[in-house]
Amino acid sequence: MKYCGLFTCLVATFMAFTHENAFAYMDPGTGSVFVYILTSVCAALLFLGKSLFYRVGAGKRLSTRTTDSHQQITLFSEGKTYWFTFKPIIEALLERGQAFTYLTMDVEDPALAIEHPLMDNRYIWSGSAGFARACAVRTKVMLSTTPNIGTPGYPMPRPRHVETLAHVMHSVSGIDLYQRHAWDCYDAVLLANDTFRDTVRRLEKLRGLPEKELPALGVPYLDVLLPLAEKARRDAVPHQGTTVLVAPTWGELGTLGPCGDVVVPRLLEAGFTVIFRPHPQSYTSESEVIQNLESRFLHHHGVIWDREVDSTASMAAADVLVSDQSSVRQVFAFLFEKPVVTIQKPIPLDAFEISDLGEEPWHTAAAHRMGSVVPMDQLDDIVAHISQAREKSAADLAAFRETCLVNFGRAGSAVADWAIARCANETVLAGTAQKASA
Amino acid sequence: MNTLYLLIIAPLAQLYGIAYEICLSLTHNYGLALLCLSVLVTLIFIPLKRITMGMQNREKRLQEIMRPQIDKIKAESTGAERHHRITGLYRRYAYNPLYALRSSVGLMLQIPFLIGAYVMLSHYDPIQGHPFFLIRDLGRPDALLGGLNLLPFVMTGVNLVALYTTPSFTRRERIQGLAIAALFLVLLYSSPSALLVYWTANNVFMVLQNLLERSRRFAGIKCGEFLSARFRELPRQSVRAVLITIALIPIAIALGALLLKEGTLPESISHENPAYIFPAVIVTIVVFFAATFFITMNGYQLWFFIPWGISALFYLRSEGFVTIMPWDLQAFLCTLLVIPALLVLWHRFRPNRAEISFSELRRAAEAVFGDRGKTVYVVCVVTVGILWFLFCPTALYSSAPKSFEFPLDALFPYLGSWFVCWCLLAYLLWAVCPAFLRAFLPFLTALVSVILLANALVVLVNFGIIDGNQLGRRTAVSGWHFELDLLTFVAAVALLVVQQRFNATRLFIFGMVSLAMGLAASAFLMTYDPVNAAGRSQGELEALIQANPEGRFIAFSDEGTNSLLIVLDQFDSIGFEEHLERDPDLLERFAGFIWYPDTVAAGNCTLLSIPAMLGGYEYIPSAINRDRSRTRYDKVSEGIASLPNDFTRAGYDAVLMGGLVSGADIFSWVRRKLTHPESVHLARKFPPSLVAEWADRIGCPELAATDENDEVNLLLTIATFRVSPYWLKPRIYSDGKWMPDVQKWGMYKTLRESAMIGLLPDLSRVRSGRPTLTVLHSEVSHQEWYLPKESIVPVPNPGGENDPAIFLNQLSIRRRKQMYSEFHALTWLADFFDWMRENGVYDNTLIVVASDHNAFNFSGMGFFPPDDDRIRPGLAGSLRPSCLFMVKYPEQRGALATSLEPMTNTDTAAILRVALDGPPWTPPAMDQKRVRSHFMGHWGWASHPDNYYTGGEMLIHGNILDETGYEWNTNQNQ
Repeated sequence: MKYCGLFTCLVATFMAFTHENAFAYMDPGTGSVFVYILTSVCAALLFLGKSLFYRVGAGKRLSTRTTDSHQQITLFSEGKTYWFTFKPIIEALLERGQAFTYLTMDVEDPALAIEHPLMDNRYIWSGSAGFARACAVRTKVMLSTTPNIGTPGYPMPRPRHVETLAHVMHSVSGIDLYQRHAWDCYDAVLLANDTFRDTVRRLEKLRGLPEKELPALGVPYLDVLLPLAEKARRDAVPHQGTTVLVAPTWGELGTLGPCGDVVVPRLLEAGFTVIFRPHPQSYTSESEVIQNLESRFLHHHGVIWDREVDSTASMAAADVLVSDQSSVRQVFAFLFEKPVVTIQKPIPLDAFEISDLGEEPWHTAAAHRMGSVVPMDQLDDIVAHISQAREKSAADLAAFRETCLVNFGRAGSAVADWAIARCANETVLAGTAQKASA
Repeated sequence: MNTLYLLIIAPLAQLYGIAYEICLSLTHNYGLALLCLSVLVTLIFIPLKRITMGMQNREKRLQEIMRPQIDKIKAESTGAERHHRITGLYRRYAYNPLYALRSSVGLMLQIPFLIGAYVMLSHYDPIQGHPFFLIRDLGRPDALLGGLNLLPFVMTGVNLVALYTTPSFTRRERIQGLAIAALFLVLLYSSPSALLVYWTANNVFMVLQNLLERSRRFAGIKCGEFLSARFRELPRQSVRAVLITIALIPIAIALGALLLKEGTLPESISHENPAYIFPAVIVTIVVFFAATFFITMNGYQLWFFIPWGISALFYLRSEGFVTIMPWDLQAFLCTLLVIPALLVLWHRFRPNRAEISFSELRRAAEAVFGDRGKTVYVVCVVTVGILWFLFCPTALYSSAPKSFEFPLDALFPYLGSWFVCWCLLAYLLWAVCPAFLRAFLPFLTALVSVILLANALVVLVNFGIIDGNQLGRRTAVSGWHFELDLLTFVAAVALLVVQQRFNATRLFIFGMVSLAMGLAASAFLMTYDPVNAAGRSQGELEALIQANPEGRFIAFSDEGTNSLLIVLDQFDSIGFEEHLERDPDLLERFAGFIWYPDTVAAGNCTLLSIPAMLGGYEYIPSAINRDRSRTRYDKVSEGIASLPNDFTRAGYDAVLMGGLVSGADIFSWVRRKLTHPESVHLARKFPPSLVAEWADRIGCPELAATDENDEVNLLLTIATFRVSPYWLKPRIYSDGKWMPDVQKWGMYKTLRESAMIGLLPDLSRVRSGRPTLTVLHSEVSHQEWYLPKESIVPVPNPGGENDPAIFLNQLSIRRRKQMYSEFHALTWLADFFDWMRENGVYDNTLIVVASDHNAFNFSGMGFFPPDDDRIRPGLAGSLRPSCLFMVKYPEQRGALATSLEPMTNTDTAAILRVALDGPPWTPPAMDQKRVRSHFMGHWGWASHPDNYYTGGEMLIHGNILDETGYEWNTNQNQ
């Protein structure tokens, strides 16, 4: 194979001396691609030949095709971002010997590296092609972290051949800050806690929707973060003074600019050590703001600029978190049991479910329970708010966590059990229906 | 393979050709134009290279992800298990070894471009003989090293530099590149210098790109990023500022116009270099931006003006721009001005939107189609492509397949090639367009496609028939249908705004329209019989020519009495006397003829007249309509066949040649009606070899070189005319000349029709035995003349009173061309009659020279004011029911005489049959029921398969010059 390119060149050179005219001109770069194409074709043909050879020899025993049992449960992931949500569910399903299908729209999804006969894991392409493939799935239960499936304007309509479409929570929250109609087409939503059920029911009633199944099963991604947090806590180096982690989110809900302009300077003036951790997306979407902040703080002796993928080390090192609407607040409060200062940025609520409910979002109350809340026009008083937040003890935060979460640390197993039970019930129901019709 | 070539390479070669012509018009130097072309192509390839790089990176990333897993599998397993596990891995990642080719798709896309460039440059004849720098002739190898060629080595040297400066190349790729460079050194050693200059320049630019990339200053990407960032940053701008900007456009236009005015710039600039407009444009830009800066100095963003500024420049639709830039590009760029202005207004009148910004405009444009913008763009591009390049040309062809030299299945690949070209351009536009402008593309494309659809299928003003290469109602073209354009535009915008509310139907509508048009074009193609449409009659004539000595297939017997009918289509009897006055010799050369000026034509178009001319009075339209038992084709073909049937029954041989009836394959019907088909030859089109011979003889050999492209260009131009807004139509029409290629097509038809008369002496012979009936139908007098006058008829007294150029110039352009054509037809006929005399067959031949109708202002749909004021209403005006009618009985002598006997051209058949009766040669007794009537209609109406649908019948009771004797009879369709 490795001489294929050279061979092609020799053939081409021979042709050059046997033909009088060229029919086109190729620069050496294009010519190399031409050689590469020929090499790839040869490799593909070789692989095809091998496949045929082994298929004839081994028959169906070596088939890698999806079986019926794989089609009972399907996990649909939009990308590697949700790997921590699906990982505990996958592990639980494999432990229980349950076959299932895992579809992902991200070629870098770590789940694709799993090689297990019970798991039919596949990359289904990204974008519209991925959504189209996900729509064509036939399965009893589809677990997805993606909201809005079936909502007008969203690229993915509700899959017609899915009997139960279930939403798995990937943060501790209710429905209030989801986009309007985000769950309307779902048959089940696996809530973090029973307390979130009422708001969903009220919306269903308001819109005349059938009642969906709303089991409270917890938030699986915390299952993965819990051991990581414990390890980070163990590894954390004891330090002097107060360390504040400033971690704003990105986009319209985020407060990257104000955090850099006001919060960090005030904290530094107060003698705090600051760990500054912008959202990874900010490096792309708000690159100029980032450049500006880097020029000011990257080499500042009081600021530790955190660009690590894993945030647990920073969280373990920090005493207080300053953030906005980011879900990192719950991780910090629930896993590390440390207080959070929430920057309250006015959000236009028209696009969210809360606008139909006409009540205060759960997040607003939760922010107070996790520490303190600072309005945008009082950022200069951030130090005072930090002092106020630090009045919350670890016990207070643990108690608040108990009201927000069930199955803390074992939500993945609970979700897997629910999915298996749901499949079994459906099978029984289908069987009963067949008998009745017979 | 040819179809593949037409669909892939030909469109690209066309694009290269257009680009090169533009470069040439800018530089006026063939070598510099090559360098310009190279820069242009390099710039266009930047996005393609970026796509390629993106694909390669994705492929590389995938390989990186899979590589450790494959290594692990290889370490843990062997044989079938290893293969099985690797297959499983590939399946998980939706991968196939062949997908490795995906990364080279971008570069593979370049290969047709490379071939296209080769095809264009190696077939571009005008470059022959032009020097550039040290090169003496760009069309030949350079031979700069004492007979050896230098450029191939320069090209190879630059190649090697490019090879070693490309950062991503591995050692193996460099070795391969080396071999390929050597390969092309051999292959291209003897190539024309132009090719080598172009590719060397390409490689130089590649080296520059590599160097820039190496120093992380890759111009294209950085520039794009820079612009995107600037547009993202744009602060909110007030509507007032936008309006000021728009108000500045007229200033820019006025300035540009002033600079372009004759005498403003020194003659050395304006006369020697037509591209002087560009300095003017640059000055305009500078002044425009300076003005905006001073007017809105207070924090105003200059970036804001760029789209408006560019649009304003293209509003300088001066002579300079017309020559430099294709009209369609101008139109497109002008439209760009309208769209942002529209969006500005839209936002202005929305509540709570006093302020606007570019990002809001962008959001507004995006909101129209939501996240389906790209799909809408694709669907609209395909819709426009099908409409413009497939549906309209097919519909046009199917309306008159006989008018074309080539069958549609031969033209279809060429149309397909244009369709591909269009899609390619649309793709390039999408790829090159920066993100902030790309948001507007779906909106713009949808708007354009709706307007085009409306113009092609809904808002149709009657332009009359497209006859030859003139529209029947030329006046309709020059009229400015502002209300229609405005209505179409407003309706299109309204449709797009309204459709926003109906999410599901927007793609559906476009999709369905596109599908319907595609199906209509395909259905026509599938049901269309190319043999019937174009080939058979021509083939038969060729066989006939081959069967006769020296190709002289028109025979005249020196024993019996021959009959000859020459139909000069649309010969206008009104000017006949003028022709005789200009060339009095014609009186003698038409010896024995009697001219009947008081002759009524059976119809105002060929289809209404010809059946009655050949079949007699019982085949006038009303008579045909009365017989409801058969189709019109049946009846018309019976009329035409009756004349050869009578003659062949009497022992004659017959030849019928020419179109006779266009718009239908009438000859296949006539053939069925023949009682002695073995004695009759039907031949519709003159063979190309004879046309070429004729073109040679009159000194215009280049005009005979017609090919499929000429006809495709005609179809496309008329399709463009059909789909375009009304303000653009006059520019496309361009006084009937359409485009040079189309004019060439028209010229071919002119040549063919003139050859039919002009070559008569060369195609005729005298023989003994069976006498003959010959019917010739030529449209030479129908074609409006474009041939150089000197090449046709030697002027006896140049500049004198009888110089055709002098007297013809006194008439309007159209009438002048008509008269010119007629004059030539008469001259050639006289030549032919001289030949007959010399060969002793003039006296024993009964000859009728007649026209089927006059050349009145051919509206086809009714009666409109004539173009020429000198042509009066009534007999000599737009309604002129007369026609040319001349008869020469056998053995008639003396100069051409005039008879005021009332005639109709439906008498033709009866007069020709006199030859069968033998002497004495007296005019036949006419049918007592014969009424002189003239039917008016449109040939489109007349071509209905069952009956004629005419606009009315004019009964002429008295002398044709007395309009009081005219009587309308509108009750003809029953």
